[in-house]
Parts: sequence; structure tokens; C-alpha cells
Amino acid sequence: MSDTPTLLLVDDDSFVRRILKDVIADTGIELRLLEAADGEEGLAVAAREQPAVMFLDLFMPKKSGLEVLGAIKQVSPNTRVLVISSMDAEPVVEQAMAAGAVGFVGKPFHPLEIASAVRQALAH
Amino acid sequence: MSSPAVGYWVADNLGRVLGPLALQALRELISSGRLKAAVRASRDGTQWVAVQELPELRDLFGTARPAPAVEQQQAERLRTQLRGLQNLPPHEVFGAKPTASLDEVRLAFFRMAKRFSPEHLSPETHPELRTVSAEIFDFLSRCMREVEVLSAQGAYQQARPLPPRLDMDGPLPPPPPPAAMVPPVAARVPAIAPVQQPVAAVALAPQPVAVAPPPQPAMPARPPPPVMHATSAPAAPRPPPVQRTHTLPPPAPPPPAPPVRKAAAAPTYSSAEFVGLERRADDRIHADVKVSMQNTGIFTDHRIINLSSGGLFIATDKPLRLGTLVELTLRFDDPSRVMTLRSSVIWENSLEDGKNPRGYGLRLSSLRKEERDFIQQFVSRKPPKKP
Repeated sequence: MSDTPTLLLVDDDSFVRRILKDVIADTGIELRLLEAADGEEGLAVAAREQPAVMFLDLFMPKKSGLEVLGAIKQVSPNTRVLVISSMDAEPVVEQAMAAGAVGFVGKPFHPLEIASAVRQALAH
Repeated sequence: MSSPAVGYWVADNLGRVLGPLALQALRELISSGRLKAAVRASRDGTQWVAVQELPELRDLFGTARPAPAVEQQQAERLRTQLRGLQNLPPHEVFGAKPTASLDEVRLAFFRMAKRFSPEHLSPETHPELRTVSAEIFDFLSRCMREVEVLSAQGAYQQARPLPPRLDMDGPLPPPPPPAAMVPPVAARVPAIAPVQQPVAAVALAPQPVAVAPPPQPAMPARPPPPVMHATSAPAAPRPPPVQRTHTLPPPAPPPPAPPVRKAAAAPTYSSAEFVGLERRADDRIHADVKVSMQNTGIFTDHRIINLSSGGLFIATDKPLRLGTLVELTLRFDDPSRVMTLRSSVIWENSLEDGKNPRGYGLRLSSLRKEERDFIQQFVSRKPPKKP
């Protein structure tokens, strides 16, 4: 098993996943990237792969990001979840953080936000 | 922290689910335009009904939907604007300066393209608006790929003025003249604020001193990380594999903690009142900030750059470039104290995106605990009561 940390991108929007992959590639951080396109798949991949970090959208098919947040500790307790969502109204941010997210990045995001968030999440 | 007393789930036509959220949270999402439509709703996440069957949600969404005629008009306007963009070199499409880094262009691309991504349109969007949005999205994606290729070839240098505007809500521009008669671009409406503005000064001084951004090192090209597609969704098209030589800020100090986004608030202070910025004879940038009860927001107001993340944010129309090293003198008034610190620009927002104030964030690289405690105590003071 490689020591390279795994980062799981859970977002139904392939465009956002592409941008995130580009930005993460530009950070130079060695990561194994996985993708999932809905909440259910995100949880399944997390259970199987135990990623170090998960980037999580909130508005997704099958299972919402908040539901994923509520279940992630059971299936992958060491995964640090960073929410990336355009639903960044303050009550939603507070709810996500209270549910265990380590950070919340609103969309559209700046590449530096993502790079910063990846480093911080890995350093936790 | 307030937890929702009653949770609601909502789902749109694409099957995307959001929840559980309190009614107040949904109200904020809808009224701010973040959440535009939903067709189903649930109070327990399992039993779903049409949104119309829950009066409290029906009323919320009823006020959020634009009329079809409005969307059709938007479609016509966008098609006209798209024609105006098609004659421009790719980076100008994004309103980027020729000297902008690839990251800056990419950010501008993301901000422009995202709103036209088919996946971001409401399922009830008028078909014409949906069609033209897809055309614009494809066009912007092609332009971005061209910029990446040009950047890799070192050919990304050609000074041109600003492009026309691409704005769903903007006024309808005049129809573009034939290609041979396109007027000087400067006469047209800018698309977005230039990604990188030339920096003059944020000074109290009557004669602002121009500050040239420092040279930025090129980032060495390297392969992307391995990607395992765990999804069955079709992969998004990627640019052709090219050697990237785009520039990025110099190696930055450790960035701030993962940001917690809060609703953007207008700064409670005017930087012009408090900040002097100048370029010293030794070529260093120096910022002199008078800190009083009125502007402690520089340490607290910004959702990312604040004291808890080891920085401060100064709102101004004249941001510095990312990575710029700034010698910072903080002059506290009461209790009186002068603190000289090293800092670097880790955030610049020159775009009027409606979410963040324009300005720049400085990361303090040498803040001692005692200094942090002093600032913390300073900003937590209550303002004196007015007589």
C-alpha cells in the first residue's frame, strides 16, 4: 500500500471535479485522487478507500452532502471532510461545521483556497 | 450554533438532494439566489412530496423563479454578447491582462464558465437560455484550453484592451458591428474587472507611489497526480497534455486554516483612512496602518484572512499581487503601541464578485504569541459609549 494520501472528490458536477483536479495538480502535493458523482457513491468509496481527505459538495443526487457528513464517521472515521459548496449561507456553514467538517469553501473558489485547504487538511 | 428544529430536504429535477436544513436556512439560500428551484421536498428524508404540497416551501420558491419571457430575453442578450466575444483572442475573453498568470486566467474562466455550465442551470430554465448557455460554456472551455497551450508555448503575451461584457443580468449591449468594423475594444463595456490590476498605492500620501509587482518565478512543469475514476459519470474533457510553464506567486508561507465562509459583509472601515502604502528606496513595500477602534475589522471581518488565521485583510481597490512581501507597521492608538511585522500577500480580490470586498489579505509571518494576544485583546474591546 502506498503512503501517498488519498483525496476523494465528491461532487456531481464534472466541471467542478475537473477544476479541482487541475488546481490540486498545481499544488504539487502528491495525492491519489478519487472521484464520486453522488453522495451514496461518495460514502461507498470512502468506506472502501478510507481517504485522508474528502472534498464534499452539499447538493448532490441520492444522498445530500449533509447526510454524507452525518454518516462518514461510521464508515471512515479518520477522513477529514472539507465542504465545497455554493450553498454557503451562514446557517448552512454552521451546520456543516457542527456536523464534523473541518472547513467550508464557497463556490466559486479561488485556487489558493483549495491549495490551502488541502495542505491544512493533510496536516491535521 | 443553532440546530434545525425542523429539517427539510429538497430535491431538484436532476435528483440532487439538499438537507436536512431548517426553514430559515432554506429561506436564506433561496433569497440569496443560491438555491433557485426544487420540485420535491421531504420532512424526514424518506417520504417525498411535491414542493407545492408544503405551503411553507411553495411560498419560498414561488418568489424565486424568473418569468420565461425574462429568460428568453436573457438568452437573446447572451447570444449577442457571445458573438462579440468570438473575435477576441482567448485570454481577452476572460478579461485577463496579457501578463496574468495561468492561475489568474483560470480563476476568471471558472467564474465566467461556471454560471453557464449546463449542470448549474435550473431544470426549469427556458430551452433557449439553456442552449445558449451551453454554447457559451463550450466556447469558454475552448478558450481556456487555448490559453493553456499558449502559456505552455510562452506565447501568452499580447497587450489588448478589455472585452465586451458577458452578464446574465447586465444591460443589453448594442449588436456587434461586422467583424471588419469592430470598434476599439476600450470603447466597449469591460467583461469583468481585470484579474490583475496595476497597483498604484493605497496611500494617505497626496502623491501615490506606484508599486511594481515583484517578478514571479515560473512553476516547473510536472505531471498531474494519478487519478482513479471511481465514478461512472463521463469524464470531463481535459485540455491536451502540455508542458505548463505558468507563473505562480513565490513559495508562500503556510496558508491560512481551511476557510469558513461567512456571508460577505461590507467592511466596517475605510482603508483610505488608516493605511499608508509606499515603496521604499530599498525596493521594499511598506504598509503603515493606524489601528483604532474604528478599523479593528481588518483583523476580524474577512471570512478567511483574519487574526485567527494569522493575518489581516485590508479592503481597497488597489490590491497587491499575490506573494508580495510587505513590511507592516501597525500603530495602535489606545493603548499606544507600534508593532512592526513582516507579511506577505496571500489573498487578492480585484473582482467585484459580490461576495468579498476588494482588497488584499496579508499573512503575518512573524507574529509572536504576546503580539497576537495584544491584538486579540485590542480587537475584543467594546467601543466607548457615546455621551
